[in-house]
Order: sequence, then structure tokens, then C-alpha cells
Amino acid sequence: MSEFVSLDGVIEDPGGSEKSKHGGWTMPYWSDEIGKFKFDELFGSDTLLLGRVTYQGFADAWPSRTDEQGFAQRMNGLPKYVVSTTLDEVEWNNSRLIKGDVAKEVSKLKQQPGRDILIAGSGELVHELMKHDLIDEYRLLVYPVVLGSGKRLFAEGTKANLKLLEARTFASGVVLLRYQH
Amino acid sequence: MRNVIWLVHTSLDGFVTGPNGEMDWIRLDDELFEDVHALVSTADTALFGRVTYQLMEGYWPTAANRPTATKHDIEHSQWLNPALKIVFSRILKKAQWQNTKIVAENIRDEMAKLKEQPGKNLILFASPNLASTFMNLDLIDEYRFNVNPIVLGRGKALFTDLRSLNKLKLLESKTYKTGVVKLHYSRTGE
Repeated sequence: MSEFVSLDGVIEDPGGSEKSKHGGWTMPYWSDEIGKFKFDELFGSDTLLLGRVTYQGFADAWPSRTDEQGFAQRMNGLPKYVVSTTLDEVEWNNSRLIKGDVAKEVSKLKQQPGRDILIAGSGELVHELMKHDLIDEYRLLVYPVVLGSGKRLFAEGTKANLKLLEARTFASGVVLLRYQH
Repeated sequence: MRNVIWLVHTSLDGFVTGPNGEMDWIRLDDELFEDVHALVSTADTALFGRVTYQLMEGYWPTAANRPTATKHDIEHSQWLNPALKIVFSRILKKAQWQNTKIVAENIRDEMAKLKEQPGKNLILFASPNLASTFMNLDLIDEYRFNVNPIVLGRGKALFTDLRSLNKLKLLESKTYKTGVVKLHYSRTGE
């Protein structure tokens, strides 16, 4: 799981595409270092696992994008699993729906050989997976901003004991906190 | 210029205590205590909300005299007991602890007066409700979060009822052997 998170634990609309109250709060802190981190993360994964809201934001944005490094190409090319009870079809390239028992389906995915399964954004899905102890690694890019409102990363009532793997500071004031569950 | 510094231990999901006041999950080690000592040595005043004050008042006046007193108990007592302590509370009428003053209202004016007086920094310990009030009044100059590697799920929230977005400036982050990460911010001036 890899998230952009404010100091008060909000993950809503970091890039501004959802047009929410504080949308786009990560933008002033973007840097090549953060770009490199996201690049390495994406290329270290061979599957994306997304909730419906994040999927729709990605599916609107990525198909028309290109870049020299091939980030967009990989986003578009990777297999994507989309967890939704309301969608009937997913049109973004190489996407398929998970509609039934999420915990069971994700457990099955984890059994398959391969590289990391990357979850980005997807707050509700993260809540569900945390409840079932299905997230192995937490990567939080903590931004130096307290938003005061918005959808939160952690759900009420879900606990987890974590082990710190790494804390890394980026020059723009963002701190990567990486934990193993 | 005297700075107001908020020092607080928090879980990764932003709680300062568990739902029943639990604090046993807070990981402390000698290195963290040394950093706290270094911080308090820049200060001469402690600020508290009522709940944190009452917890502290029940411990620190006699902490150094207990048979089980640690080096930290002794050193922190030597700083905290004689230091000026200010409790912000409308409920509390009397404080037993030496050199304690109660402020019931006009937080902004009281803090402005304090900051104009000569002296060292002022440290706000935990006191999450008061800290959010301070943030809404733009009274905090520095933030020292000790982030513990745990998700509690429930408890007393670090931030409550903030009226606006606060942009901070990262000064430092540091990792302790316990897995705690210190995040040190100042106001940006924006």
C-alpha cells in the first residue's frame, strides 16, 4: 500500500482531480526525488489493486498520457484489479473487476507467483484489507500540511502493530515512512 | 523571540492515547529522552491542557523520590517541577503543583503577553485539544511529533476541529531504534 498522506492522516484527492475542498495538496511539494520513488515503486510491482474511486480517476487520466521514462506506459500496461460493488465493466486496458469476497480474492492474488501488488489511494479498499491483515507493507509519503478535513487513511477500529523499515526525507519536506506489517 | 513548541507522542493513525487513556504503546528509549532533555533545556515554561496537566501533576512532583525513579524521571523532574507551568482550563480552579498558573480565558492575549516577556521557549506537552485551539489561533511555532509504529484504531485524536489548512515546514526527521520517527516542523509563515 502506498499513499500520499497529510500530517493529520488525510488521503483525499492528493492530486486535485476529484475537485474536493483541499484537492491538489501534494502538488506544491512534487520533486524529482519523489518522482523517482514512485517510478521505482511502480516498476517493482507487476499488479495494481485499486478501489473504484481511485480507479476512475486513474482511468480518466492515464490512457492519454505519455512520458519519456515510460511511467504512463507501465500504468496503462500493468494488470489492474478493481474492487467495486457498483461497476459492471472496466474499460481501462488490462483491467478486471473483483466483485465478490474481496478478502478471499486478494488472498488468492497474493498466492500467485510474481512481484509486488501495489495499492495506491483506494481508501475504502485499504480499510477492508487492513481489517483482514492483508497488507504487508505500508508506504506513507507524509506531506508537511495539516488539512483539517477529508477522507482518512486509517479506519476507526482497525489496529495494526507495525515495524519501521525506513524513514526517508525528501528535500521538499515530504517524509517517506515505510513499515512492514 | 520565544517559541511555542508542541511536543507530542502519536500513533501512526493520529491518536495520543488509546480509547481508555492508554499510553503503554508509546515507545521511549534513552536516545529519545536525551532529545527531550535537549529540547526542554531550551525552555523555561510548560503549557498544558487540563487533562494532561492532571496526569502530570499526579506523577512528576514525587517522581524523582520513588525507589524506581529512572535517570529520566530525575532529570525531567529537575526541569519541570521548578519551571513555570500554565494550565489552560475553565474548569480547574486550584493547582497544587508548585509554580503553576491557571488561565481560564483570553488564551490569545495571555500567550501574547507571555511571548513578549523575556525568557526561554515554551513547551506545550501533549494536550491535543489545547494544541488544536492554539493552531486555530496560530500560536504554535514548532511541532515535534514522535510517531510510533502502531495503528490504534481508536483514542484521543491528535487534531480536533481545525478551522483551516496549516502548511508547515519540515526541519528534521530522525529515526529511533524503537521504530519511532521524530518529525520536527516549524510554521512556514505563509
